[in-house]
Amino acid sequence: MTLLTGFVDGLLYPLLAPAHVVALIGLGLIAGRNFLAAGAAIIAAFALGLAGGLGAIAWGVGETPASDVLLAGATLCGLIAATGFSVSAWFAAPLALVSGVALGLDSPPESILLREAVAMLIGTACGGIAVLAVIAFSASAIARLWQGIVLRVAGSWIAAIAILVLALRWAA
Amino acid sequence: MKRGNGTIRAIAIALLLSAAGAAPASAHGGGDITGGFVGGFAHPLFGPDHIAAMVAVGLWGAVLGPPAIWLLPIAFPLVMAFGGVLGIAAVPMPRVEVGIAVSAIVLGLMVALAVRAPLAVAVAAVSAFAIFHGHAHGAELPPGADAIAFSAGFVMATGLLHVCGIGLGLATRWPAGRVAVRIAGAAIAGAGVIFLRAALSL
Repeated sequence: MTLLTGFVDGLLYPLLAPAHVVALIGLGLIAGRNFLAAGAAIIAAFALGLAGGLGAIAWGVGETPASDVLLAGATLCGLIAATGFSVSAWFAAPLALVSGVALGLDSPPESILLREAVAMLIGTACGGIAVLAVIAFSASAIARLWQGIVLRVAGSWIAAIAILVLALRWAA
Repeated sequence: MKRGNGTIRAIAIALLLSAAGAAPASAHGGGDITGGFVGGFAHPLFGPDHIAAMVAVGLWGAVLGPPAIWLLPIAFPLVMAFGGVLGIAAVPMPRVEVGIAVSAIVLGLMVALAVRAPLAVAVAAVSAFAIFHGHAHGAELPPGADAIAFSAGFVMATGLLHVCGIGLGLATRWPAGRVAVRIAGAAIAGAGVIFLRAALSL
């Protein structure tokens, strides 16, 4: 594995882990609904949290319940999106921060070589932020479509999926 | 300018949908295909009682018009997930199949009779039935299922059945369509009676 392939693997990781995709869509939905007022703050807080989580992984933090936290955050984001509320940056930014930390902690690099592992972590950071930004921008573009119904339906689906997965994990 | 905005919206929708679809498509949780997205997506589709009730939800929403037309399909998956949690946790719920059959009868009758219930009543009724459907799905979850892929599959299939119902229900804009929708409601209620007989004979 070269540095480049390590970076690309990290870049794609947020799209290959289903829990991450669910969480990113949930967060993107609430960022997109109130894109001008809170979108930048949500993405910035997520980026900060993600950097922190990945940094913690780099420092050797072991297994954490990060995936469950990520899904709990997705549930909350989905419910907010389903209700159609436009949340303020003061409420959404901490949620994004926690989600970012959880996503980072749930993204341990596969390589044991330091340089490749660092490349993967940098790739994961870039990929996670880029995916969230694309989803948020897409959601903002369709936020007014049919009075925001698409976002609300998507929010209810995300919340339902996250609730079911959490139940399955706890039952296992 | 308008054309440009429409293009941006179309691209945005495509991006969002492709992102949503990425979860099941790239599922690598180790579950087999039965427990994956395909299994979850097919789960509601292999139950005619589920199909009838889901389509009836969409039809009734269309009969009621806004905001019920979108509020019912939003409320249903959320409450269904709660029912799914009960099923996964093996919380006993008596006569689940009877509840599902009754949901088809009641919702079918609402459509057939074009009952314009208050929004709160409609949401409450649909939500109550959603618990039965969710419990059945949760309890019947195959062991070793890839949780996220399965859940995404069956939530999306349920939502798409609602969309089918809404799509059919849009025919109420025309006089002949209104008659056709009411006939469809009656057919669903009739099918519900058959489901109920089968459930009671178990």
